[in-house]
Amino acid sequence: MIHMRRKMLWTHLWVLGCLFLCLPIQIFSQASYVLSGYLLDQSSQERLIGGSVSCPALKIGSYSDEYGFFSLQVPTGSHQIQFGAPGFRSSHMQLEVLQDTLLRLYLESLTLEEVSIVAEDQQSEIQDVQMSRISLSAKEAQKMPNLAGEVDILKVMQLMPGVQGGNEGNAGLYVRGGGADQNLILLDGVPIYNPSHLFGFLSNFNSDAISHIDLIKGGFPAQYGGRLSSILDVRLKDGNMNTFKGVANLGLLSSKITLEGPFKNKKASYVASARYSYPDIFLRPISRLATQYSTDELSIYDVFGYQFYDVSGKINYRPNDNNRIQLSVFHGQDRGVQKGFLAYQSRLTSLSQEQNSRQQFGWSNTIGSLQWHHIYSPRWSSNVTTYVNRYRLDNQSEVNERIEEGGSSLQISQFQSFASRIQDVAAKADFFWNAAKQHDIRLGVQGIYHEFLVGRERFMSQLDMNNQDTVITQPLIPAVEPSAYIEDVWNPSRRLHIRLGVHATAFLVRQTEYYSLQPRVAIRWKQNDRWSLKASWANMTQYLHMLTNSGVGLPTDLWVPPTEAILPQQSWQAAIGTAWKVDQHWMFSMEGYYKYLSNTLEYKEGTNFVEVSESWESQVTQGQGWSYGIEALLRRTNGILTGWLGYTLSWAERQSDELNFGETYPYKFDRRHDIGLAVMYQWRKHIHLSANWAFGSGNVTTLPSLRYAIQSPYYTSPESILHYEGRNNYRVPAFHRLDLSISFSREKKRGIRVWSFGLYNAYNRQNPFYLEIRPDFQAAYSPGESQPNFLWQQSIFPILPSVSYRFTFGS
Amino acid sequence: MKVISLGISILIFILLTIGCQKKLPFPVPDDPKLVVGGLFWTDSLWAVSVVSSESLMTDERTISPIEDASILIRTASGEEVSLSLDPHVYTTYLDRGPGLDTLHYYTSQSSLATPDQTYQLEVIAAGFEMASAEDKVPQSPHVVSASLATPRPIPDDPSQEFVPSRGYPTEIDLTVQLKDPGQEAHFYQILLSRWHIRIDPASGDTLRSLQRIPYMTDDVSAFRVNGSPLVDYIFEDVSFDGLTKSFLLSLKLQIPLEESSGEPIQLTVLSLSPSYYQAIRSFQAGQTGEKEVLNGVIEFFQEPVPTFDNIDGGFGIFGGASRVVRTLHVP
Repeated sequence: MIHMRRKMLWTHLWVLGCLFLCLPIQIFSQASYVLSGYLLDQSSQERLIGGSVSCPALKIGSYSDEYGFFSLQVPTGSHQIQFGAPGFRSSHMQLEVLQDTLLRLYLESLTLEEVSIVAEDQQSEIQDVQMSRISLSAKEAQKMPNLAGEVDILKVMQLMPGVQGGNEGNAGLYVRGGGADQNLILLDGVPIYNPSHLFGFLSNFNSDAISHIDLIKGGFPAQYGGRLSSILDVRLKDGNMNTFKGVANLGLLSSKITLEGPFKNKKASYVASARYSYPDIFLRPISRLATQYSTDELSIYDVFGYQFYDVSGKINYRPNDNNRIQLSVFHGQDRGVQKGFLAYQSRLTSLSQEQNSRQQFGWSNTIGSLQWHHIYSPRWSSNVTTYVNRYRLDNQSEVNERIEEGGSSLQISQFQSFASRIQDVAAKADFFWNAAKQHDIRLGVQGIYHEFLVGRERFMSQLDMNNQDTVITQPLIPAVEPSAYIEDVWNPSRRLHIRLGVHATAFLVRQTEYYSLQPRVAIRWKQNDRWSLKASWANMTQYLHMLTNSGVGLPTDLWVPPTEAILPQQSWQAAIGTAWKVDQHWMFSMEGYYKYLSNTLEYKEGTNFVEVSESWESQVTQGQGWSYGIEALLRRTNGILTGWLGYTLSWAERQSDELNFGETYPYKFDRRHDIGLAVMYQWRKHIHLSANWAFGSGNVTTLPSLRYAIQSPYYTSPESILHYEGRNNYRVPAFHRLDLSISFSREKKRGIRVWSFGLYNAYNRQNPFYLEIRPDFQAAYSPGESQPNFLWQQSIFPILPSVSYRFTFGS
Repeated sequence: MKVISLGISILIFILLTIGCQKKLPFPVPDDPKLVVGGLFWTDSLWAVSVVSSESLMTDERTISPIEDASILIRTASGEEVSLSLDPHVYTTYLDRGPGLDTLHYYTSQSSLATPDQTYQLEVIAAGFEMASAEDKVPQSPHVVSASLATPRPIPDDPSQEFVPSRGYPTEIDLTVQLKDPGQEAHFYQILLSRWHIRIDPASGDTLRSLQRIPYMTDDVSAFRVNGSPLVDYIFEDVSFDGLTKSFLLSLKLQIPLEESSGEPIQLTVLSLSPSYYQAIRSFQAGQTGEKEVLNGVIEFFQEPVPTFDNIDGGFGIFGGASRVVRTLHVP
């Protein structure tokens, strides 16, 4: 098996090597010079990602990467250089180019009065060879309607074509028919394993601490690997290098504060952010009210509590123009508690009983990273990163009971806990080389050391003086995942750009070795400044598997490595698309894609995921999947009215020999039509309106259609069988929801305050959360009368008004 | 502050509960259909249960037997066997095939299925669409050898199955060698059982019944859904197609070592038709999981189990297996 994989690896390497050698590389032609450097926000010196730098006369341009770094090659002479970024006033300069030059280009942020100024950010969709990318700045995200005062960037992304949410309230991403575990979610370049708060209703990302978000759905650049369906690259703010600033936000669900400012003579900056939630305040009295029951003899109630918080910090040190060092930390935690109380006192005897129970569950993500960005010369730069991250899951259950009768008493205690975690230590280095006028080369290496603890269980019981304490720990599984990549953006002509790359990885766990070579190709043909065609091909391999429930987002996500029996997931995706700049305000893009997935992981029929932690390998099965569709996005990027309308027509199917009798079945997030509409309108100078409307065809679920009795080959009594026509045979009702918000801002003596009022689910649509089959308990029936069953839909979020107060202070 | 908090809580509680549930249209089939239980072994008499399917929309859980069905089993050569309703099925057929119990069975008194034959089933009942099915009985399994190793006590058994009056259970290794005929896919099941004798407290009669003996195996071709000890292994011939292979089974007897010598153990090796195999797989999956989907919160935690059926015009299973039975004695 390993021998075959190695043989295939060398075959792939040979083919790719030939491809690279066949390119008419003109790396050593020196007829031009390199202009490179950082694109920066003038007010804060924050690096600007996704900004454009171009030379209009030569019709050439470049874009700032995830480090705000750009590189452009121009011939000797005097040139006008234009530069811009979304939300910033475009600028230009005349430059005499006589040698390779390092630049720091500053852009001014647009003020409220200037929102109608045309920005240059539309150009990137036409110019850039990258397709299937959605970029969003924090400024744009902040304008969107919120849920209880929280703008969630993952929910904003769900409004984009090709991106779905799981079900009502879920902040998970399901991209082009892929699963929630198939997204590589990076926070400042570091993977984060569970980006959710509050069962997935909110994400870990505090919108006040974020500078930029990029979501890539296909045509993946060679630097990325490890997941099949998407890359979500979230960049935290660097911190203001010029002045102290802060923003505080008070909402119904949570409050947060972000502070940033310079130190060390403005050579360094910091940004610190914290968010704390308090649904406890409402949940505890509600739950007690709803569950309280008491009689003369008995008193029962339950109390539910929930809290989450996250903190992030970053120190950004720039000793000189060629070096930038960053230290980032993030920690997010969720904790839910259910406490139960029961008291019983018999009226007839002396029997009394008191029981206290406590169930606690929670999870946390912790990340720390150190990055060094160094410019060797205008042609060469590098970024070196080391990081640690840890995702931990903890569940506990405790019951204490005391029974007394006739002077004697019995004390019973039981405690049970389950913990699981994955921990990574990694180092990576990326190098950027502007090799020649026609070639931008990027290459890098990475090594990750994973440590998996799939499960550690502890049982303790005490019955009077008899104690029992049992710990069952599954062995710690270490694994190593090295990878390397190389990529060349080759511009053979002004119209044609080709990005050719390869990502090579290996995964070494126990006695098992896996290797993968993933070729990546992207092509852009620019017909003119307003229209371009794009195509891409990408192979991806995902070694890590996530075992999770397919229903609600309960905290049960277990990350597990591939084994000899459970192979890594793989995919290839082909996409073709076009981008068209309709006019100065409107941009239209359309893409079609086809994705094939192999070794997809599913639970076997009959599996109960609550019990899977032990012999998880025997409870899962692998199969294959297909997804294909068309996505269209109409976007208005500037003016007093901005927003977008996205539409997706898609199909997603799965097949496994061990499921559905081997027949193909629709994937649980197969959604035929998906529409996302976002509108942001600056009505008055200090009044901002926004609305978004989401529509999605119903997901599919498996429901029985009838039942019957039949003899089991195992038991002497007949079995009552629920008959399912097939897996995912029932399409639940469509999902749609309108959110509205209005913000009033006012400049105060010490800053700007904003009152925001929102309506989540403005027309009170009952969207499906889960389905159940049961009688109508409200209906009256005579004793002995048969009660008919009905299919019930449970919804969770009706119309929810919200209010939040935001205050931005500092100069 | 407490009052404000309580006020907001009540408001949210009302918002979250009012109008959050509604009935949905659920197009389930209204017409009842015939449900046929027709798993059969080559050396068993024919026994087929026939009931009516029930609507999911009623809360009643009764077996609706069909007592006026006409059942015909036809061979490829045109030979026909007619089955009739047998009211004594419980006592009569306990050890004569897959466990039979309270369902109403149509049986034949003389005809037995033979290996390598294709059988067609037709069930006609008033008010129902005709149900039919076809299955080919596989050849008998070729058991090359079967032997029991010397038994050993298992005092360190972590499952602590210490029986105070009987001592610790006994563990024995059983090696079964099978020869697969090759070509098409073949499926097997190995069952182990022993006679259990008890006195009926009411009548004082001695009652004998066959009890399954659970066993374990690490063989890669062995399968049982979710590793559940409740069900027996089934074996696919993927790893030994056309070859002879030894299977090492570790079985546990609930008797102490000193009483185990000479104990008869019945080994049953079944060669299953593909339909029989699929039916067992779906039954296994259904057995190991919680089936209570109705009348409560639908199972978030449970992956649904589609039940295999191969009946045209109805539901259920018609599938055959041929078997070889050997009695082994504990050394």
